[in-house]
Formats: sequence, C-alpha cells, structure tokens
Amino acid sequence: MTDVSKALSLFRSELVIVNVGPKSFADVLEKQGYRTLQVDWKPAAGGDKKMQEMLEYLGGY
Amino acid sequence: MHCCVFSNNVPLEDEREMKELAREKGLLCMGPDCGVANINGAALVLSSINARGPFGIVGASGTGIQHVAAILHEAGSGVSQTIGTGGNDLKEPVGGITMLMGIDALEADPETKYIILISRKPADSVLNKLLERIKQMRKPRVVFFMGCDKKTIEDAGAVWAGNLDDCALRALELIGNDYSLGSLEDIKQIAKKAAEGMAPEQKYVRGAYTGGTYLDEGMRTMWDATGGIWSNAPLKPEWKLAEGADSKENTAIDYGEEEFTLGRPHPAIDASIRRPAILKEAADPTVAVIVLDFILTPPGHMDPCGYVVPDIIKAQEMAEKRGGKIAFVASVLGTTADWQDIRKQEAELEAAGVYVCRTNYRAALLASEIIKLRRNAK
Repeated sequence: MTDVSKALSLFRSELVIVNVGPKSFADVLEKQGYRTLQVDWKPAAGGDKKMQEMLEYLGGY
Repeated sequence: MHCCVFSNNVPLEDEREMKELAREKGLLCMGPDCGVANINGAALVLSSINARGPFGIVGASGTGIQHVAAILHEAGSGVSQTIGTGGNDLKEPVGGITMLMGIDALEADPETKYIILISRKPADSVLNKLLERIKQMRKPRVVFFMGCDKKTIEDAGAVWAGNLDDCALRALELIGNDYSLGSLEDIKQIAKKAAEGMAPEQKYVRGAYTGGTYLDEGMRTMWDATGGIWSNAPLKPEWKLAEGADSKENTAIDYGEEEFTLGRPHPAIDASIRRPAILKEAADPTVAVIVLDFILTPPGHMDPCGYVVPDIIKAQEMAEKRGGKIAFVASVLGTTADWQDIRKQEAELEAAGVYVCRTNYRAALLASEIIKLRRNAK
C-alpha cells in the first residue's frame, strides 16, 4: 500500500490546475469553473538544441 | 503537485522514473499518454463532462474510461474520480505503478463506493501483481482487462466484464440499476432495413476511427462476419495495409495513428483529420457500410457530427447515382453534460440518415449484421 494521504487531500480540495501546454486546455477548464494557471510552456528557441546551448552560454536560458 | 501528462512517445524507462518519483512523494502521476481523467468533477484533457457518483475508475485506456463513465452518466449515476494511468502503465517496464496507486487512493476515498479497472491485458508479471492487490480490495469492483479470462478475474474477487459495454452494465448492476443498451434482435432488425436497396457489388465495410481503442473493439467485433479486416493498426500483422495505401475489401483505419497526427492535434480535437475518409471510402462502389465514431470533449470540435453531415449526404448521393446506397453506422461517445450535447449530435446524424448506435460495440455489431446479409446477397 502506498501513502495516499496526498491523493485523498487532492480529492477534498478546490482544484487549481497548472497547465503546461496549449492554452485551449486551460480555457475549457476555466469555462467549467476551475481555476487555472497557464505556463509559458514552449521550448526556448523553438526547440533548436544548438540555439538553446548558445542561449544557456549567454546566461539567458 | 499531482500531474496528468497527455504527451505520448515518452520512453518507458523515463515513464518508470517519473512514476517512481511520484510514488515516493505520494503524488499521482497520470500518464504519460493519459487522455482522460476526471478529478473532483473537472474534465481533464479529453474527458467528457460527467455527473458525479459512487464509481471510481482507474484505467489505462482513455476512451475506455470515458466510455464506461458516459454509460454510468446516461443511466443516471456517475463517477467520483477517474484516474487515467496512460497506455503503458501496465507494461512490464512500468509495472502498473499508477494503477496500483489509483486503487489505493480510491479504496481510501470515502466518496468512492465501487471501483472499476479498465485496461488491455496487462503484462503477465504486472497482472499477477494487480490480481494480488485486487484480491485484497474491500470495495466491490468490476474489472475489464481485455482478453483476460473470467475465472482469473473472479478468483480475485472481482466482477468480470467482457467488453466496455459489459463493464458499465456490470457496474450498474452493483447499484441495482438494470440499465439496458438494447438487444441483438433490435440490431438485426435495423440491419435488414439498412441492407435493402444496395447494388450487388456492395459487400464491404470501411471503418474510419478516431482512436485505437474503438478501432480494436470494432475490428474484433466485425472480424468473423467480414472474414478479416485490413488496417493501418491491424489485429494480425498479415492484415496490415501498406503505408499510405488505399483501403481495400474490408478496412478499418485509425486516424489517431502517428501517420495522420504527427505535429497535429488528436482527431477528437481536430475533426478535419478524419473528414476526408468519408468521401474517399464512399467513392468505392464495393462499399456497403461506413462506420464512424465521434468523441465529445470540451477542447474538441463544438459540432463534430454536424461538421461531417454534408459529406455524408454527398456520399449517399454518389452511391444513389451508382444505383445503390451506403449504410452509415455511427456511435457518439459523450454525455448530455458535454457542451456539444450527445442528444443534439446524434439527432444531426440521424437526420442525415445515419444509423446511430448506443455504443461503438453496437455500431460494429450492426455493421457485422449488414455485411453478413450483403455477403449472402445474390
């Protein structure tokens, strides 16, 4: 048996949904009456690894 | 934070690592590849909006969870929580971590009075672990593990279900609800009418599905009546259609497969992915039946059935010009609480002459009966 106290606490709580993905998923949850937080989820430099390394080197990512 | 991960194609070793970490922290990790979860009434990802009720569901098939929850809703009951595990949870490398945690959570949840477990057949080692856990459960439980024999499930103290429809009906029996989806006799009567007026060469079925669970269920149900079904995701490897090949004889296509969805949303969200199939299949004069599934979900198309009605009407006109007619057979997965409203969606299809069945399984049964009649037709 695993410790399910946090799952039970989830089932009793008011949901706040942190959406890491297309905003449309958050929008429909808002429309259902739930609180959401939208995260800027897109990978830096459109996912270009070389560019990400350069940005990291420059301290900007 | 508990998480629900919709992304798929995550390596199984990474999935295991994520889930082990979540378990260590006492958190639920639903997914990767989790398409459906209802937590505290919130329809997450591609879930339908469901009534709340006494049934908790843990499932490795999003469509499976949504299907059973929709029938419970339709029958006047509902779900406490539904926990999607992701399609790979019950594979050997992942070991069923989320399903086992989900069972523990629902067993401890006072709002959950009954538990339903849904999956394709788990890997042997995972099945043994699950059966041990199922045996120890205190709450009444219904188990549908596709392909798992009745005795194995019953020996673990659970109610065995043979398919998704059966799973929902067995669950409803637990609360004394004798809800019915209709008889095979009803389907045979509809099939007689549907098969009338076709041209002699019309002998084949074409299925255009939005996802794998319904494709599998459809092909299994229609297999004997058709004598085998070609597919991009076939039941047997020798029935695989060459990539990009046109349908032939009896064919069923999963439009949720990567070849159609790479870089695009799931067909339940983007209805345009599957739309071309209707006129393409209807252009073949040997086609007697076209089977379609429709899935309602908040992020989905607001009128998925109305969206394809013009194509269905055009397809029927094409068949009439050839001296025949096509039987369109469909099912809609969703609820009256979904914004698209299942009743409205069904009515739009019916007005276009589509035979709307209560479930995907029953749609496949109707298609089977029509094909049997057509194969015997002179």
